[in-house]
Amino acid sequence: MITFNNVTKYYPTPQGRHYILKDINLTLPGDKNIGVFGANGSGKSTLMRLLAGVDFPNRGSIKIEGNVSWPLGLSGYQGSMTGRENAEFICRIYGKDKSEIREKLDYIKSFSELGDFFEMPLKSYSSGMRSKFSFAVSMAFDFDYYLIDELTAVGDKRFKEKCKKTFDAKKGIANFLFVSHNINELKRQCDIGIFIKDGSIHVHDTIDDAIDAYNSM
Amino acid sequence: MQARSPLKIQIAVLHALLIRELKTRFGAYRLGIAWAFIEPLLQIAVFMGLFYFGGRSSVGGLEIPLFLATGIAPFLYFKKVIMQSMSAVNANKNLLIYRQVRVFDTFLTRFALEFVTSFIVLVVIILITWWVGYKVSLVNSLIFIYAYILLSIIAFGLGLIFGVINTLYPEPGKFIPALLRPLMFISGTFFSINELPANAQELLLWNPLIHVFEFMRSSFSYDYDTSLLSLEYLELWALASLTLGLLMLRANWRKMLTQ
Repeated sequence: MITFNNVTKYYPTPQGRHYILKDINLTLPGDKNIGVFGANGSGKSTLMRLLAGVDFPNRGSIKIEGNVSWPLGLSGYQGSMTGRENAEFICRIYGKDKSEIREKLDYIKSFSELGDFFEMPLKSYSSGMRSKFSFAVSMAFDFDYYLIDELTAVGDKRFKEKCKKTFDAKKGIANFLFVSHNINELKRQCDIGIFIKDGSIHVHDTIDDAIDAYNSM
Repeated sequence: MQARSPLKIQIAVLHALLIRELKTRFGAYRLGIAWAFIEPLLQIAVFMGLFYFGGRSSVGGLEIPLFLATGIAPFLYFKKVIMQSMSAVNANKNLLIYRQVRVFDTFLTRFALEFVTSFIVLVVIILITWWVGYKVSLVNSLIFIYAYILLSIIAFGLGLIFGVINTLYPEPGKFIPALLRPLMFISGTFFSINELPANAQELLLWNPLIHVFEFMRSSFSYDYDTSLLSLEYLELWALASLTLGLLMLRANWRKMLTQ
């Protein structure tokens, strides 16, 4: 369950405060996968960062039960470090011991299908390889909430199928918050939708309603 | 996943950041380690040449290489802590997406790495001068270590202050390195405060670095004149800069996450 308690978030601009969220009081159910909609710049990523605890409301508070992932996307990695080193870093900050780290690294290496590129700096990866790597890392850790910020299945049909299966397996034990520009993917993965617009969050009880609202924007 | 204590998390984060710093800092061929020694040695060599042509062989009872090593190496340490702190947040920006990694950790890691490396560099350089055949006798190791620690706290505190400024206001931040460069010439890296005219002494004694280097030198000779120096003054600097640095970070770290 995610509870917003009088949450206000704005960014200062030369023209005054630009509000992303204004006095939001909201409870999101803890057993639903949620699609997040909104125009570019409406604050989807800011919302993810607020939920992930790496950005803070100017007023109010957000409570989440259970442990939450970092905003899973293509960022969060150091280009000068290899795939392995990046993965090791995350294992370490999550307090994994040596044998757990080995296990996670094996999983990430085989899932990402990077082969020898796993030992190469991330900046040498193509965008497809980077996506595969990010996807593998994101799925290697167990959370109650997965904040998915534009992390989409890439690659050929077989790899996409594999990603889908992993998602489905996770869905049974965890919840997803999904930011994506791919409407089909949101439709497939999510139960309900929330729509960020002009500083407020509208909750739609079915994903189809949310998509309709988004399309009529 | 069971909950870990905040201390345990921070230790894990510092460990992870330290390994990341080591990897990117010293490079794939570990040339960074060599550079840590070469930079001070080169500067010492240049000033040794100047002293040679000036016909001096010792200052205050210390032979020239030792006299220079105790000024130049700790000055480079001071400068490095500040420069590293200034880029601590930007260099680790991508990693601040993880809630465990806090802004303070990036500063602390970089400082700790510099604290250890530069101490080793300083000691090794002093050992080299001894091994080459110059007279080196440590008569008061406590004052040597204490001066290094006070220098470290001042550097860390100023690093936090400049790090906050540079992260939030990169434009004025650009002036800081420019200000550090001439600092070397008024910090007693290659002269002793005791040999200056009285009015210059009065002015330069405001600079805490002079006190640090002169105290370090005094640990190698019973005769080194420390009458102008003050440990209390250094302690005050350490306390003030660390307090101000921590306060500035505490007030601004949230803002720094989204810079």
